[in-house]
Amino acid sequence: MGIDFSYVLKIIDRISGAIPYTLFIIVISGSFGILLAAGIAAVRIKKWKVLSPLANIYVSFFRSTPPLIHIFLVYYGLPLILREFGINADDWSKTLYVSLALILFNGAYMSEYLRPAYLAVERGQHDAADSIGMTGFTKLRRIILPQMLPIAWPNLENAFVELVKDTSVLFVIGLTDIMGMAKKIISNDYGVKKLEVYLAAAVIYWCITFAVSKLCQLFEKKITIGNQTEKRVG
Amino acid sequence: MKTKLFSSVLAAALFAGVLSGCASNQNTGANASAAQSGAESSAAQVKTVNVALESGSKPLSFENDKGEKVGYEVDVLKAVDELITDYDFNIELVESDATQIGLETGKYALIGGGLYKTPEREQKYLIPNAINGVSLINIYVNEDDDSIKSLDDLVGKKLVPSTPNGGIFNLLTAYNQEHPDKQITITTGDGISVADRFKSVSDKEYDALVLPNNLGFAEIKEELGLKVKAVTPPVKINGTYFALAKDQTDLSAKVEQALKTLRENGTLSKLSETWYGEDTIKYFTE
Repeated sequence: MGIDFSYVLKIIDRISGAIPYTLFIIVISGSFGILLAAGIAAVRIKKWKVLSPLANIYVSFFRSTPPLIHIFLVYYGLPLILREFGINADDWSKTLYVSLALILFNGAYMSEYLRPAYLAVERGQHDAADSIGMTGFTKLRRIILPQMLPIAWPNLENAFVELVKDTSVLFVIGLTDIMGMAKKIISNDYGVKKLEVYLAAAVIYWCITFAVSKLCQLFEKKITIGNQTEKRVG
Repeated sequence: MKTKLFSSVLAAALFAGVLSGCASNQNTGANASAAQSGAESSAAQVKTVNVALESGSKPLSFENDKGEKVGYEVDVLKAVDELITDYDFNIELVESDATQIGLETGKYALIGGGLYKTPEREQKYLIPNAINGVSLINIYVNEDDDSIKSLDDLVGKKLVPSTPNGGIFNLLTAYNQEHPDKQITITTGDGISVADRFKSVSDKEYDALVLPNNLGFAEIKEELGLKVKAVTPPVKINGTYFALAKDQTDLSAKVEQALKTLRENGTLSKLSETWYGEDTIKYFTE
């Protein structure tokens, strides 16, 4: 029983059809995820009353449970809660639910990369910025972020790579992402060439992950260069 | 200091705003459709309900290459939908775990997936007292082999491994418990594709395979040119049913009536021939 490589190529072509949708989910949940993470990290750093303990519970829960469960909870659980408030959420698109689930997951994860990075910037840097009369936002942009991002970035990069792979559970609620497409092909052929299809899916995930990490590295270069100039100026 | 705090709050607020923006947009969409169906219901009293079948379960329910939802149960549901005038079905295909979770949380009014009637299901769901189809448990053997006619003949034969704790495994185990003097050798294996199982019988690697008939035997046989046949009569004949949420008593009664009609007028038999290559309904005598 050998592997039929020409079939793998053919399948790669067919599964490629699901790449745009998968990328869409990655971009949406990645970008909103990091925004949520910033908010959550801020709440926890500032130790705001009520909000901070809530954020702690949220981060702890979503970091300790797999994305598959988040999708089930959000897709099947959230409408139950909304129904209590008289909102009928049964017709909302599945894309909205899975994005929300992945955003919540990534918000929790990424906030735990941002928070320590922020705390790693020395107190003296804050004081120095304050002493020359920088306002909060300028201080964040010119002093804190340039020092914080290089610390947080390698972890964030990992989170983005993980996100690519986390999309592979979308098929459970019937969405045709890369894995959904692979599953569909397998079942329509009665699993005649299962191995080839999974191999094709693996190659595609690999390519996307490679592209994502290359993009991240480009960005990393940019922020570290920014950091150095910032230091020179300072 | 304050401004930084402000900017993070702004970021969070922005995020929340976008989300709720999305949500409210979608919401108005849902409301609009609700209003629309409200308008319809005052006219013809049509209620749209979500129903779920299993994805990737060819030939029961699956998406074809064009992305259309097709399959035996999809066709049965559509036929039922046509007979029931005051409900409209919105069919979704999801994984089997998801169908049950969705039914329990009220997302779906009805689910399928080749379900048997079990005491547990009858307790948890409403099961209309009418079959939507018939699942046969068959013994598949090589076309050259005439020695196997029933489960009794499987003693001492080499059987294709069955999924641990699956229906077939339980059936064979039950047989062994009832016949202490005649033991079938049961081996287990998971994740073997249906096509590979049939192929191993065709290649005489194994003597026999016990399997439900609704897994696409006819098409696999033709596609791969296999020398495999089903032993008649089937080992076991099971009716398959739809399951409904406990609060759907009205819909359940209507589905039951519709399924009875479809069985009597031969629609179920016809669909069975289309998807399974034979009329399986006739084996079911209840």
